[in-house]
Amino acid sequence: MEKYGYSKGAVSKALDAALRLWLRYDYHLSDEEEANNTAFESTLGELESKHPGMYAVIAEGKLVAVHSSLREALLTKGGHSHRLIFKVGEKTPSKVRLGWRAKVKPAGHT
Amino acid sequence: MESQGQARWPYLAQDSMGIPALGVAVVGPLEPHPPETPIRVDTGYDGFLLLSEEEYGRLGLNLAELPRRYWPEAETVTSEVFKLRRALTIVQVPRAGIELEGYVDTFRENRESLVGLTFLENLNLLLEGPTRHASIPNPQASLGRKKP
Repeated sequence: MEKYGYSKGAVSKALDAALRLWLRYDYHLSDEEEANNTAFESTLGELESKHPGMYAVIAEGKLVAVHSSLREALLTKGGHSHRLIFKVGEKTPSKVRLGWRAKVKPAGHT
Repeated sequence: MESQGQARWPYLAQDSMGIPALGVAVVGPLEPHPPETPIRVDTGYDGFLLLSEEEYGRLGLNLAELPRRYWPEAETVTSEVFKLRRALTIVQVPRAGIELEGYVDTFRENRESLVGLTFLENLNLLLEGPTRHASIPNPQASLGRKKP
C-alpha cells in the first residue's frame, strides 16, 4: 500500500492513485457484454428448470444454444466480440487468492 | 485424447532454483487445437488457471466468458482486491492424455500465466527436486475429478 505524506501535490497524486485503484477494481462492460448479461439474468430461471447441467450459450443479447458438451458450446457461432458460456446451475467460488507470482502494478507514487 | 509421450517437464528458469511447470494446451473458441505450452505451477493461487490478458484474448476466451455475476474477486498477497474476468473452457495435458474442464481467469494488465491449486486437485503431480522436473508418473490415476 502506498503512503501519501505531506508534500506538494500529494493530495492530487493520492486521488489519482485512488482513481486508478477504483478503475482496476471492476470492469466497464461494453454494450454487447451488457446485452448478453441482461439476457442471462432474464433466461436463468427457465434454463435452471428446463436444462440443468447443460452448457448454455448467449450471444448478441439472446440465448442461442444449449449443449450437452462444453466442446460443442465452444464451437457455437454467434457474437461479434463477446459470448457467454456457462453450465446451468453450477455455482463458482466468489473469491480467489492470487498468490505471490501474480504481479499487480502499483497504483502510483507520491 | 492419446498420451503423446512421457508426462514430464523441466522446471522453467526464473532464478537459481527454477520453477515447476506443466505443459498444458488451452482450448479456446479461436484456438480449437492448441499446442502445448509450459505454464508455471503456483500453489499460492487457488484458482484453476490464470492466463495473461494477451493470451486470454488471443485464444478468444472473451467468446466463452461466464456471466458477470460469477466473476470472482481476487485478493493479492498485499490485500488488494479486484475483479477477475473468468471464462469456461477445456484444458488438456497432452503428454498425460488428460482433459479437464475448468475456469480460466485473467485481470487487467496481467502478464502472468499460472497453474493453480484447483487444477492440481485433479493430478498426482511429482516434483523431482534433484533433476528439476515435474512429472505425472501415472496419468490414468490422476483423473479423480473432471471439473473444479
